[in-house]
Amino acid sequence: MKPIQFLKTGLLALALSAMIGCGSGSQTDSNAPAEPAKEGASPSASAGGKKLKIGISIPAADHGWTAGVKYWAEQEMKKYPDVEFVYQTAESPDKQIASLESMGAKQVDGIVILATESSPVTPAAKKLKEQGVFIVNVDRGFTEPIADIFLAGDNKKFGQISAEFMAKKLGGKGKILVLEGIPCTVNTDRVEAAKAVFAKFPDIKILDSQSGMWNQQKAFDVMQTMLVKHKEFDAVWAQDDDMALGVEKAMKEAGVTNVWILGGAGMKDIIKRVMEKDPMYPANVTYPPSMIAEGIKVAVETLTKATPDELKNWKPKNIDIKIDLVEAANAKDFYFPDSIY
Amino acid sequence: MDKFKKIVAKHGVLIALIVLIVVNIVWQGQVFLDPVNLRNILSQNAYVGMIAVGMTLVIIGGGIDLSVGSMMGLVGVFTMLTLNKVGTDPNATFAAAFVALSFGTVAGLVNGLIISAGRVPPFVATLAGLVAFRSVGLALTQASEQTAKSGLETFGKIAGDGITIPGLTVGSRGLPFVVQWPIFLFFILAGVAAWVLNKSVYGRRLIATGANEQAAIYSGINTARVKVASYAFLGFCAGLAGLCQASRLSSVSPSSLGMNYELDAIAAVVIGGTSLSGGKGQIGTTILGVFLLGIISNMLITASVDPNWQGCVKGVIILLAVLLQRANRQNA
Amino acid sequence: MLSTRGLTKAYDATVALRDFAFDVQPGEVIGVIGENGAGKSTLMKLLSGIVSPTSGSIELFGKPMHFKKPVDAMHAGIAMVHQELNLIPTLSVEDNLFLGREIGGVTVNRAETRVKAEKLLARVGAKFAPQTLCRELSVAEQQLVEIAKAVSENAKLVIFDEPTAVLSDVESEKLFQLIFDLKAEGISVLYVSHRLPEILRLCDRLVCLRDGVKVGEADPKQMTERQLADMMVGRSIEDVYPPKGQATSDEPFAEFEGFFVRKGEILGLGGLIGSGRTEFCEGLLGLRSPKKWVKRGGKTHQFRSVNEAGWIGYVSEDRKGKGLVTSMSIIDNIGLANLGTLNTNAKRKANADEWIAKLGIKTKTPELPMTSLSGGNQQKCSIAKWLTIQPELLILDEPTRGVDVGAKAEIYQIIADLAANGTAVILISSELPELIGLSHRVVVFKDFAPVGELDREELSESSIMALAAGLGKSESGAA
Repeated sequence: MKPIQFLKTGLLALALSAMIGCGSGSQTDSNAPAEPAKEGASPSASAGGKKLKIGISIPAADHGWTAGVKYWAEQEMKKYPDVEFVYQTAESPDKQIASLESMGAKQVDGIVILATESSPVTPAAKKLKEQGVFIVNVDRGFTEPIADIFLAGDNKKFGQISAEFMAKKLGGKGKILVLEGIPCTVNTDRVEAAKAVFAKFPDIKILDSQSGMWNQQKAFDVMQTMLVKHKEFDAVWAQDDDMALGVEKAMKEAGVTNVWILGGAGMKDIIKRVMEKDPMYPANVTYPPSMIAEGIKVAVETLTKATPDELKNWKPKNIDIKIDLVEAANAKDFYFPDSIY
Repeated sequence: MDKFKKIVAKHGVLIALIVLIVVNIVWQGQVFLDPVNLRNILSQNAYVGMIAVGMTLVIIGGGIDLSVGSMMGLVGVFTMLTLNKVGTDPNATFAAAFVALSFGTVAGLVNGLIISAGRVPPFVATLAGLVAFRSVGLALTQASEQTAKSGLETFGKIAGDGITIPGLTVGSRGLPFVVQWPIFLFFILAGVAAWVLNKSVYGRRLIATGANEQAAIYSGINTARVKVASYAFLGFCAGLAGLCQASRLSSVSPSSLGMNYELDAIAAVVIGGTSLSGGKGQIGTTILGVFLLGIISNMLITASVDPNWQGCVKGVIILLAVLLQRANRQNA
Repeated sequence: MLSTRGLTKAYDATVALRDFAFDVQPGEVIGVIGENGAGKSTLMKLLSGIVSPTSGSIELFGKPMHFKKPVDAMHAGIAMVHQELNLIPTLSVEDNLFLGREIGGVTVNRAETRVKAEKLLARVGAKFAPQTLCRELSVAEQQLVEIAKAVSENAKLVIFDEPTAVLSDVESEKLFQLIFDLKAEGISVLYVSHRLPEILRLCDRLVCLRDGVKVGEADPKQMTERQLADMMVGRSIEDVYPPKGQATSDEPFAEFEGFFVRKGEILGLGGLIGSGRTEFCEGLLGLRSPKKWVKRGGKTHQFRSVNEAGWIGYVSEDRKGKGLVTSMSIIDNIGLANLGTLNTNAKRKANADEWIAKLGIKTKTPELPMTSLSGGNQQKCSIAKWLTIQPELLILDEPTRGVDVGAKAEIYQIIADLAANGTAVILISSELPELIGLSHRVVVFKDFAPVGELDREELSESSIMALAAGLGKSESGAA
């Protein structure tokens, strides 16, 4: 009964990590003050000695990148044992709206939110804002300026940077294949921005553009099929590292060489190969899922340090998340062997 | 005219498939008929196919299983965990295969027991499995991709190796043309299931259970046992599909492996003319249904149809394929 | 061979069968009669192992039997031919015959199965091949398969539950012959039926049940139909058929392809099972293709749905399948055809109360689900449902199928009253006495079309059968 044993150990591990998560975690981050927030320091936690309560709402782990987000959020939360986190993942905008509503009912002081889709989630976040909840928005911006702090991930910029690298490396001339992700705003932003860059180079020809669903197996299948039709090309703009791996397998199976792949999002295995100068992966573009940790950190810091007055007259703040081009030279700065992504 | 209608009604899927192939040849001839493309269609759909074979039996027996896609994902996770834990080639491969197949079978068995002994409607019981299996897989891996460690070549051969066809090559470098094992495994599985359905004693009992459970009980058939066996077989199919897919990618994504496979499999079964109310169906037509879906996907990609529109085109073709059978059956 | 003593079955507080004792001799045909709910089906279920007795004993050749499952009874030699046929439509005849006890280990031994199946089919006089799929067989043929299946396990006692309910007269005749054959082989038969003439003809002895208690045993040779009926209901029932009135007008009210009906007239549709009478009615209402037309007041209509045919009510032969939603309450069922008008709970309740009173539907409260009612009362609800739309033409398809004698008489009265009030009535019935007893005229169907018409004076079982069998109109000579 091996499987059952696995199940048991798995569940045990899960239970243990949960206990550490909400119990007396020993490794506190030096940035975060260990003692409870000063009386009246946070907008709605007026009762003396009451714990700071922060809601975390992120998309469910449906592919590698979101799994990374989940991992980084969980890691970061462990650093603040004195903050009470209301932590929920959502598969879809409507589930996220429901979880935001429940957070409102639980009277959180602030929320950190990475939206599944921007526009449907905006009204629910606005309602919380009107309740006096401090809002930290990560990655995808709301359609109205309601975030108190906005850590903007910029998918258009992601598309642009990666396409510019590819055009440069090709010397402005060549045939490429494009892989798209799950049809949604993030994908459209990336693909459209990239195509806009390629359009500036008349000698770069996009042979085909098909969806690999940000998923290794789907990318494998799609690439297999595209390879039958397109025998001659120079590079694959794969957008995402999960898809890059699927593309690589399909090309290996078909004996395609001398073609390189540009993935994205900074998966550790791929960064390592960039570092090792693997000709198949000359570069990568980061879109770090760790941005959620950054968001949680600023939320905790702001809510513990700022005075009620400061919070009342809070001016919305934008923090840009840097989207970096990773090449062999700087790859070691982006290589985190312990990360799950 | 009536004769023509009867033929259409009886062989609806086959005709739809032939029409689709003809359209494809006219439209995408060069690419579609490329032996590599044909082989790809077989290998890409073998996995859903395995599940569809098991699903056909379950549906004929009056049941349904929504949990197989998630089950396949969880099987993949166990496969990878076992593989990396044992870590020595080729023992790791045997251990992983054993775990995959036995876990799949046991999970199917449990589904069947919940449904027949626990008297939970199959839709509900397996809906619970759909959610739960996926979640266990995510929890065990913290949702992260599980990759086979280096030095485990044997494992990759399950789906990477196969029978080499002389005289054909792949790609410009002329690699050997390999028809991978999963394709054969799929057809073997289908052959076994077809034999069970049409020749075996168990097949009669399964059809009877699905068509009229009361009558089956009155005839002295232990319908609970019959049903449990069909779910266990489907579990085995899901285990095999999970194992092969894990080998093909030499990694497993707990969040996406097997995602929506249950729906694709059910779609293939229904397109194949198997009645969702049970008691009636064929393995052969399910296979046609699998390839109907597979060829549509292939065609949409080779024809460079906008990915956002592909779902719509696929949906319409599925509906037409089913209507072709339905409309004629009513008039006949 | 079989004897029961003190056989009792109770469901919670209700006792369905109490202290039942009887003996069956080898080769004896015993009729079991009684109104619906008298305990007949409970008796059959006990003997065939579908339910276990609360107390009492069943002995077969002196050995006490304790059936847990239907198979146990089958192995012991008691087989049952169910009223609702229990065949798997998608399996072949031979697979059905040996279902649950297939010949062969893992694989079916085709050759041996075929030989044995052919033998069994020959024994019951079936003419079709064993590899035919059951769904391709007629109802009568399917019943033959059931009977073949019943006798295949070396049955010593075969129980028939309303076997002729789904058969035409010609087919019934064949069945009777088969029962005589079984009897000649020394096999005992328990024959349950509402059709008293059959009981009188077939049975050596009969047992009458009322309210779960055996009220008598009798020799059918000494009994008349009337006496049997009295014995079942426990009181004397008046002449079953109400007197026939006159049609309110001589003018045709509605014309169809080949025949017409007047206002205030009961027009019977005769014919064999499968002669297309039900199909005609369903086609008329747009429920199936080919659609039929009707001419009323000089205008021809071809309806695409029941909704369009607002002035026609159709009480289906398939009460549980097409007539009623058995899980819904009596109130909701009676209101079902007229929800546009009966658009509040209060209106539906008032409407149901009205019809419950008018038609004498027996129920504790109308909120109960349809399943709580006996067959006869369900049928009355089915009729009430259509009366709420005040139809000008009411079609009744086998209105007394599965209804006991007492309720039958009441339904006959309802039909006669409707006609007397000017409603045109079309009555489909496979029971010839019923057709003759109620109808002003009868149109006979054969092969999906009317083949002849019989006036009140011409009505007789033989004249209807002659037309139905395609022999033409016997008395008047015209072909």
